[in-house]
Amino acid sequence: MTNRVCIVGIGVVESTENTAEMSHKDLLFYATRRALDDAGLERKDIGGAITATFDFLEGRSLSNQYTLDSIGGVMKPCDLRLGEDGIYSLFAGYMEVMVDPGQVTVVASVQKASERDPNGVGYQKLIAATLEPIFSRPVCSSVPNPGSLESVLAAMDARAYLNRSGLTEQQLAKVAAKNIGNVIQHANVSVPGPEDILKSDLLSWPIRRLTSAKESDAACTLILVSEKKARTLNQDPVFIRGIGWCSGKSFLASREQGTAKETKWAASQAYHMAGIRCPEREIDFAEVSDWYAHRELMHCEALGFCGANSVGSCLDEGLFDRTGALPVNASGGLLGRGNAVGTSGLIRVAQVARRIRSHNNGFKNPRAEIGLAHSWGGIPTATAGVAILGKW
Amino acid sequence: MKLKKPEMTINGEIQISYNWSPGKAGERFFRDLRDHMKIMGTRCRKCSRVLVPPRIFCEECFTDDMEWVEVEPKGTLATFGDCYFSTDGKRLEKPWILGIVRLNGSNGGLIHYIGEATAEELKIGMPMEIVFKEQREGNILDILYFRPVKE
Repeated sequence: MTNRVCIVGIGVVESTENTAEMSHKDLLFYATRRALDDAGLERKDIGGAITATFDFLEGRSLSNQYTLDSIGGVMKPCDLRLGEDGIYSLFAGYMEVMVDPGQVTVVASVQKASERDPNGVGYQKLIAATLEPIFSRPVCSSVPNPGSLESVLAAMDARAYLNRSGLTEQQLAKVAAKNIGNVIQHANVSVPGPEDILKSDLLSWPIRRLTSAKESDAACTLILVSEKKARTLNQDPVFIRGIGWCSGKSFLASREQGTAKETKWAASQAYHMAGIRCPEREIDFAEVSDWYAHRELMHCEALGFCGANSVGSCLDEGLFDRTGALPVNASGGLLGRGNAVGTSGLIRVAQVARRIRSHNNGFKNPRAEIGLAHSWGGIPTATAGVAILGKW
Repeated sequence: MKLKKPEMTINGEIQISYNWSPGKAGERFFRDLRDHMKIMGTRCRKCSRVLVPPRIFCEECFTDDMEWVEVEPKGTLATFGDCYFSTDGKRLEKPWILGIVRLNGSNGGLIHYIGEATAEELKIGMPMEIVFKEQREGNILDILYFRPVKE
């Protein structure tokens, strides 16, 4: 490919900052301002603006109409809105730049979970509302304590996976301890072990408080340009080498339980595009959806990170550790950093891009040239997106 | 990490009602469920898969060449999740279990309550059967729950 698409600006606002003082629009503005500063660009340079997240979660119908001014997209030739996880804005932005290589495209996503009802039942109602309304929703929205619906549906997914793979609850605790530890290691505080994870509240076996990611606020903006355009800018470009996305059957009960087929398929598209044949050898590190601990393992397996070995043995041998051969969620992942549902997928792309640029303070991986970012739509969806980024 | 609370918030909510059509296949399914306690599926004449819940089209062959078939109200447990505690950690007086059951001879499955069993007594792959509601109204809650098949 002669004119590849690359990321030249990264802007992220996460819950580590005081997001309570920022409105939904402010969050996205700061993410975009940072991304523009990072790229050395201004609003006048923007040619297209794309957002992706879930209107229902934001509580704003047609929410792009409210966020466009926060991403510098007012009166620009492109205002595209995708009702999907933020990683889809990267896919749409990629295509936008392919069509018009002279263009600067802003892709962005925002989620302010803390604005939703404080007792959390609203989110559970949204989960029920995501289910197909004729055969599934009447059952799921009638459960005696709706606050537990998400955990029970996640437990169904996890139980089928453990049953199929032979993985244990201890191994799920190991994943959570690894990811939480990856964040804490930056802060020099004592790291919880798997035994501490197993002491956390049991929500619905095997889902525990610490094996499921907490919701968080975040905004993320990336600036995409063509390789040719990037040469005129001062920032080191990070190349998008492959993208792929896919959805499974819309009816939860019709799907093969305990599998992540959509991730496998999305990855195969992205690998094909990037010319990757042996992901377990060619991918240097990955940020993978660990919405629940079992999902990290399910996704690593579907992404082909284990080669001929079992995912359990890869985990036990430390393959996915920060110091392992294929670090997974070295940023802390969703379990460690929180899950801004609908935005987290784009944040994973930002984390991978930052590490390729080595802007991730304190983390030195001699081989961080090819990274993979993965996103999963969450219970009860079967949607996955994969992006492969590279230094070259 | 604990999120700080803003000093001022503006409260609001969105409430909208809908009337969803179950489609021709859904109508027939719910009518036979209500009137005859029968579970109906549709078989694709091309690939022979039997869809429960039924559809008037096969999403694999992408055809509407389908025929109606009755499916027995029994199947196998594909997975389940239990709820014994409330979100604040209190033991529930009435624990509940949701599960997915794939009816025999069908492709697909139903998500519903599991009754007459504790989570410890359940196992993925075990045979299950439908318990119907006495006063049926023509919706999925005319199935009361699935229970393990008694020997």
